[in-house]
This record gives sequence, C-alpha cells and structure tokens, in this order.
Amino acid sequence: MELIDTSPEAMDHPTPDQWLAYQRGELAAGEEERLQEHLARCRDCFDLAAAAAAFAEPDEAPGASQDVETAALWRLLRPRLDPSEPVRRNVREISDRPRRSSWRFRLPMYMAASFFVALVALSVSNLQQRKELKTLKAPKANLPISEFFGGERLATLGTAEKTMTAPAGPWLLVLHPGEELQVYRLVIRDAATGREQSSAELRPNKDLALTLYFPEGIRPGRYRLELSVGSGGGAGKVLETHRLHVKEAGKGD
Amino acid sequence: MKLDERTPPALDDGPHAGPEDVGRAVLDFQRGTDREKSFELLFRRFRPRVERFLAPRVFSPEERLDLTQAIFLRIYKGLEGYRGEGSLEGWVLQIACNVYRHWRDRQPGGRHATPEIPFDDSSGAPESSSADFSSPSTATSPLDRVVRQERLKALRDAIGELAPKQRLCMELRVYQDRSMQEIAAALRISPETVKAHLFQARQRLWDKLHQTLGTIDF
Repeated sequence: MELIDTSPEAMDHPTPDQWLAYQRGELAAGEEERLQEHLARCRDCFDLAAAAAAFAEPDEAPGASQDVETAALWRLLRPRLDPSEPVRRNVREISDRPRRSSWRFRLPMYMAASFFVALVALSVSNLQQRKELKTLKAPKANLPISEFFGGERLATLGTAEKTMTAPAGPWLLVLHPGEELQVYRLVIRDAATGREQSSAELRPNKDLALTLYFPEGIRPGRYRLELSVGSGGGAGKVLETHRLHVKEAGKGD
Repeated sequence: MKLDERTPPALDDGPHAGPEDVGRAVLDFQRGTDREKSFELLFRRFRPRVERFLAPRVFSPEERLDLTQAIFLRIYKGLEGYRGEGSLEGWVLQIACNVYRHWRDRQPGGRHATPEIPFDDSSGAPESSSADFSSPSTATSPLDRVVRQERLKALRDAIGELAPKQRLCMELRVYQDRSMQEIAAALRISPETVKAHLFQARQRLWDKLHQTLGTIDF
C-alpha cells in the first residue's frame, strides 16, 4: 500500500510492558492516544499489541479439562527441554555409587574375555613350541661330524668302512660327492638287512658338499650310505656307496 | 491429535502460581535448582495466555500445538539470560509474538495467510480489504499517473481530517489491511464499534471525495 509511508523510522517503539499496560487500561489518556497513533504506523507493534490483548485478559479459573490439556502438553514438552539432562543425571548417579551391571550384561562379557585370554595363551604356547623345535633342529657348534669323500669310493668300496662312536646328541654327516650335480638323494640303509633307515634329497652348498643334520643323533649299528642322482621323489642311479659303523659309546670293537 | 487422548497428567494439580512464585521459579531456574520443576510452574502460568493468543490466529490444532511448544522451548533456552529489565510477562509476550510472526511469514501468502473470521455485515456494504486504487506504477500513461497521485493525496488528506477513532480504524483497515477483529483488539474496542467507525468514515469520505474521485470502494 502506497497511500502513506508507514515505515517505523526513528519511532520510539513502546515496550511489551507498555502494551500490556495499554491493554489493561492502565495508561493515562494521552499516553494511550500516543500508543494508538503508533499502532497505525508500525506493523510490528500492531502484532505485539494484539498479542498483548490476549495476554492482558484475566486468566480464567482452571477447569479440569484445561489442567489435563496443560499436563498433556507439559508431557510432550518436557523431553524436548534439555536432552542432555537425563544423561548428565545418569552419569552422576552411576559415578556416585559402585558400578555394577546385571549378570545379563556381565556374562557375555566374561565369556568373551575368557575366550580372548585362552586364544592368547594358545598362541603363546604354540610360538613357544615352535621356538623350542627350531632350537632343537638348529645345528649346534662342536657337533660330531662324519665326512665322506667321493674320491674314496674306489678305494673303500666293499672293503673299508668308517667307524665312529655313537654320538650322545646331534650329529652331522658331510658328503663330498665325486660328481657334480644339482640334486642328490642320500639313502641310509641297514647294512645287514638292507632296510632303508632314512632318505633325503640334498642340494650341494657353495663348497659342493652335502650336509645332513641328525638332531637326535644315530643309533649304533652298521649302515650303508647310498648317494644317487636325485630325481623327483624316487632315487636314480647310485653314484657312491659308503659304509658306516657306529659303535656304542664306551665299548671297544 | 487431541490432547485428551494423550497420557494422563504428570503434574500435581496444586494451586496455580502467583507472581511471587513465578519470580522465585525464575531465580531457581537461573540458579539451576530443579530447573524442570521451576519451568513447569512457568509453563502452567503462561500456557493459557499463549493459547489465548494463538487460538484465533492459528486454526490447525496440530500447528497450534507445535507453535506452543516452539514458544516454550524458546523461553526455556532464553530464561537463563533473562535479566528482569522488563516484566517476565512482557518478555514472554515478546517471544510468543516473535515465534508467531516467524511462523506466519513462512506460510503461503505470509501475513495475509492469517485467517480472518468473517464478520457479519448487516448493512450489506461490500467489504473490501483495501481502497480500490491500483498502484500509480501500473498507470498506463504519465497523465493517468499524475491523476492517480492527485487522487491518493486527496484521499490521504481526507482520511487525515476524520475524527481520531475513525481515522485510526480507517488507517489500520486501509493501510495495514487489518481485519475488524484485529483492529478491535488493538484499539480495545468492540468489533461492532470498529465497524461503525469504518462506516461513518466511509460516509464522510464519500461526501468529501465522490465528486473528485468518482466511485470509491474500500
């Protein structure tokens, strides 16, 4: 509407209390007229004056239905007032007394904790065993060593044998094959029965020697060592044969 | 959603709070002494007034419920900072009015979305919300524009010469597009009196301007 300029520029807006007083008829006539003139030019104050009219009316005596409505509204409003309040109260209540949750929550927690501890213990035990086994299998210093050379073959074949005393602990067998191959197979047989005692596929080290470690030593007896061409799982052509006599410790031959 | 269908009351139906109780409740609230109980007392005190304010302006019960909650939430959040420079009632009134205005301005049509209760016009005079003048900017030619400017000035002068109450009613009706109920509430007179003032004002304006302006309808 462009009939007059109703913008409230440089106006002294009455306060809400003044509007309440106006609506209750508590103002002097001159002041009342001033406020009414203000209303005609200020939209915001008009809204406030209209609201003040509703507020200024005397409250009716509360009826049962109004109380029920107020109570129901309060029930709706209360949870929205301060959502953090119940949480704070809970924390305070819990911190004031010893924390003790019910068995329903504690039992699964205990079971999970037990399972975890058992798992950790099992893992530690397994690691321990592996370590011990590795230590047991690892070559030790000052081991008794028996060495066989391929050059000896012709001289000793069928006649001579190497004699040694049965070692109390680990034992190392070293072979120096006469022929240079990538892979060998060593079969240790009982010299009397020819029964195979052990078989292993060996690869020569940088000195072209073959080493075989016996962590538990070797039992006394006579053995035949057959070195053949390594070919997959089975033994190929026998290259060398050595004889080994392991004497029982403390006994003469 | 009817409030009666909700859960039973949680409050004890004690005597309603007096001004001293309200002042103490505000202090307790600000000290943090049982804030909920203190605010409950304030809620009980001001809820009927807020309801009286909203009832003729917001017809939907759901929206009224939402607005009531919004008003009291605003009060709850602001009560900590209330310094008592004005009365608590005035402070609550200002908040209620602001929340309502914010809601009203977001409605389709803004301020004009406020429903107007039809007023029984027994005289049969046509009720128009504003003077039957188009804006000068819509005038087709400069001459028309000048003529309209002249007419507006004449109308403005004529309204200014009306008796004070007639002038106020006419200004609120024509310039602010207020309903008769709103004018009545603001001027603390009955709607019938407003109607009478407007009728007399129209008569005077007609007598004064009909030769200058031709037909006038507002």
